[in-house]
Amino acid sequence: MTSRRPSFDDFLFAPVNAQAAAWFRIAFAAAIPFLFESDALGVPIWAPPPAAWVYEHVLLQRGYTIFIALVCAVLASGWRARAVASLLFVLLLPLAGLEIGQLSRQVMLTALLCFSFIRSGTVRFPWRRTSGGESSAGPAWPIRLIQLQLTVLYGVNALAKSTPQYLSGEALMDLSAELSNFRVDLSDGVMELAVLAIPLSVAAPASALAEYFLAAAFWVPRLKWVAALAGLAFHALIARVLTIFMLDYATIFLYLAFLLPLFRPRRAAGDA
Amino acid sequence: MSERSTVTASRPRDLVIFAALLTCLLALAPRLIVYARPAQLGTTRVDLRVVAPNGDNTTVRAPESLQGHTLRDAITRIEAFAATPEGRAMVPPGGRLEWQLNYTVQFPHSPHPRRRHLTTRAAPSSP
Repeated sequence: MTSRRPSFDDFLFAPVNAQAAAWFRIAFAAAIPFLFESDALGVPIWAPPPAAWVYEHVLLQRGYTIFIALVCAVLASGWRARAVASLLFVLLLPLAGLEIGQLSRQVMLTALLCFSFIRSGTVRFPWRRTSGGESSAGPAWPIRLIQLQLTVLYGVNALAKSTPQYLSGEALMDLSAELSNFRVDLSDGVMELAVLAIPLSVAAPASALAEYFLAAAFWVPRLKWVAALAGLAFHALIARVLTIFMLDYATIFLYLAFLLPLFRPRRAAGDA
Repeated sequence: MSERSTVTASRPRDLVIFAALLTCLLALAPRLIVYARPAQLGTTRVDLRVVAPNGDNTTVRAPESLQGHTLRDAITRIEAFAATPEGRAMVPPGGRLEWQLNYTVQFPHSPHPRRRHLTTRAAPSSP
């Protein structure tokens, strides 16, 4: 029995498991109405009068949110999944311009755009055992892009934090004073967690290290569940310190690109 | 698993789309940086709100020594000033002082600076 190293071609063009893709599709359909709920948000200040009118009277109305939810229900059903995912992307794109939640919307829109290339409608009801679990939903590269987005998301933040000013805790002390998003006052250089008082000179490098770990560990099959648990703990901790609107949830949603069995383990040559 | 391993029926075309999307993803990546660097633009203007026991209040510009610093420096200086005899003398009998700090922040993902306003360190009523 010989084994073959996965090639770049395998990385991009290995077939995606249709049943797992269907679960991912349903997860998208469930997450989008929650992550894009916008009817309580304000018209963006950059919008010129005609666009502001469309935002105020169409896009930020309860009816539009309900319409998005209905389109998501169609997506969940798997009927013309690629076309519906593309339509959903177009419908949601204007909401990326809202003042609040831009980052989470960018993350989800990019993921949805990539996912629209997947033939996730190959399997409509993934819980049925006979619904084609061995069929392909297309090549791997759209899923790889979603995975890369998670890596880039943690990677750029880890890199941005790798400065003497951040690692010393100074940046966090300033930010907690400047921004109302911070739930705690860190200006005295200490972060209090339950009974622990952690110096920012320790907490700041730890947060950068955590993001380096999360950027890399999902790619190691043996570590991906550890990374997911570490990521959940990391975001729970962040949520105690500051609010970043929906970015936590959007980031955690991307974990599915690693955790769902979208790619079957390769069979070694000679295995029948 | 059946092989339907392209989107466009052409691997070169698929690779072009992949490269284009990856380029967009990387180009937009800096927008995803959250709270890694101080966001304040410029310096802080400090006003002083003098609140009488009956709630009447007047707002005056705080002493020049407290103006024009970063927010954290301004807060530190206000705390030090409020502890001096000059600072304590400014508190009206039975009333209080409120320090209003006005500054501008720039979020990494937004092209528009936003004005912020912080009322802080309300001095306790004088005995």
